[in-house]
Amino acid sequence: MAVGIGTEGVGVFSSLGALVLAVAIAVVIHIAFTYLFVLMRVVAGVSPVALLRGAKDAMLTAFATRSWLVPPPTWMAPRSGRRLP
Amino acid sequence: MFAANVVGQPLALTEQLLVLVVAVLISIGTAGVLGAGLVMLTVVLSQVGLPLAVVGFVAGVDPILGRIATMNNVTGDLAVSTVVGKWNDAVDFTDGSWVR
Repeated sequence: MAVGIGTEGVGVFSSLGALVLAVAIAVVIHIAFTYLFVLMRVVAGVSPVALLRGAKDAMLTAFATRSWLVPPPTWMAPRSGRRLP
Repeated sequence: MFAANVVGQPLALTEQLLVLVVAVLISIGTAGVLGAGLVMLTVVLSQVGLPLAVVGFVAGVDPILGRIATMNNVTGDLAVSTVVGKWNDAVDFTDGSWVR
């Protein structure tokens, strides 16, 4: 990486920032269109806000732990407190 | 595209399409472990003749990208689970509880 910065300059960091920003924007568009609009609104007829409200803990856990194995317990307990049958 | 910009080697449209196809095919067969994407990135880069040193740059921000991608993955799991629950009337969406 040091060689790369030495040859390409510190402008590489701005490219990296642009890469992260592009991925973040793409994910937001993907969640908003594919999941919230197509799957929730069109296919299931469920309010996208309800999904976001229920998925908030799982999304935050996934972001914090960077693992898709950790979040399931946070969504498998519905808000009523009952566990899976 | 990032790798091509870093090394100053612009990709033609056919090469971009090749990257797209290879990336999709590789992502299907990639194991769901941390950092596997970086390993598979080397395959994509070699397909279009880009230097593998770019992986070192991407590795610096991979933890951030991985968090975002994982959040996307989990949200997709939840969305599909919600659709299946709706189709099977398994969830009462008024209070979010299981029907049975």
